[in-house]
Amino acid sequence: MAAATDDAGDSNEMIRVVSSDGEHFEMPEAAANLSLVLRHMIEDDCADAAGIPLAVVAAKPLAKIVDYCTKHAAKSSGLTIEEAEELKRFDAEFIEVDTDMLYDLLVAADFMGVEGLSKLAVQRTADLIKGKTPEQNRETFGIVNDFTPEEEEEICKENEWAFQITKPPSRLC
Amino acid sequence: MGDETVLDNVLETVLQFLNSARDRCTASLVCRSWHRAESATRTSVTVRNLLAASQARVARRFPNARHILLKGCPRFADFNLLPSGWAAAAFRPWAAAFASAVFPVLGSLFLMHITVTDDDLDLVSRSLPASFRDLSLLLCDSFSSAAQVPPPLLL
Repeated sequence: MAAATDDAGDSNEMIRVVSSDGEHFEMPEAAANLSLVLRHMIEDDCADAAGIPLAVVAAKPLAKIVDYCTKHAAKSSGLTIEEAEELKRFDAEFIEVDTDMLYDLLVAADFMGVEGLSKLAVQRTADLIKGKTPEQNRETFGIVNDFTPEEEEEICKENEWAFQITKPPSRLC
Repeated sequence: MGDETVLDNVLETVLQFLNSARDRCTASLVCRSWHRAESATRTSVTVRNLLAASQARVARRFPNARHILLKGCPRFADFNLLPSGWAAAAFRPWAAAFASAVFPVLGSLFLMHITVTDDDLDLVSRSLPASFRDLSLLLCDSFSSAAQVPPPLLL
């Protein structure tokens, strides 16, 4: 059984999780339930005082994820328009992170099965890519161009002459 | 799971959110792994001139294409500026490719300005994937109403 809570509502149990680098975190059960992995662990009675070990999530992203889940669990259902707006603002600020953290969040949210956060991080990453040149994208994400000049030219040509993106054909009619 | 696999999965998930032609072309030029992920996630492909790209190349680069728009003769062909029979057989290798299901998740095929014979249509219809729903021909010629097209393909 999970350890009894000391704050944040009497009936609400606190769930403990441990990062890959050994740091302990606590969040309400409702927050932990936003993670598919944690929810299954809780249902299987694997949440004990020692904490659920998350072998691939380091303390830094885990702290963010605990924040995210706690905030979203507190405002899960029956939101007023203002509350929904506030949650949106929270998300927008929450995801203003550097690309290293963004990558950690993408991987961790995917691993832990936190759907809302996955979507948020994926959308943010896609937004960073949009409207940029290949070189700008390499800079943003610290990528080394591993094409040979010939390959690069080949793809460039192919992109220009052969392929275009279209909307699904029905909309062309 | 290796770091590489994680990275590839994450990348594919992200690139699914890119819709504009420009962003997709850009992504395909960043590096090899982006190129791979972009190819795997491109679902709508337009071939501006079916003579400019081989069907094998298109299938290799965009194996998950769901919507394909193939264009044939350029616009000025409308004004009889090209000799008749120009690129008449150009569609045949494509028809053969569609028939051998090189696009396993194809849902719709849009042909424009292409000479398409009844035999071509017969060939196309032979082995389309279960996902296929829609064949459209616009400004195409040479086919007749006798073409053997199975019921789900409404012309």
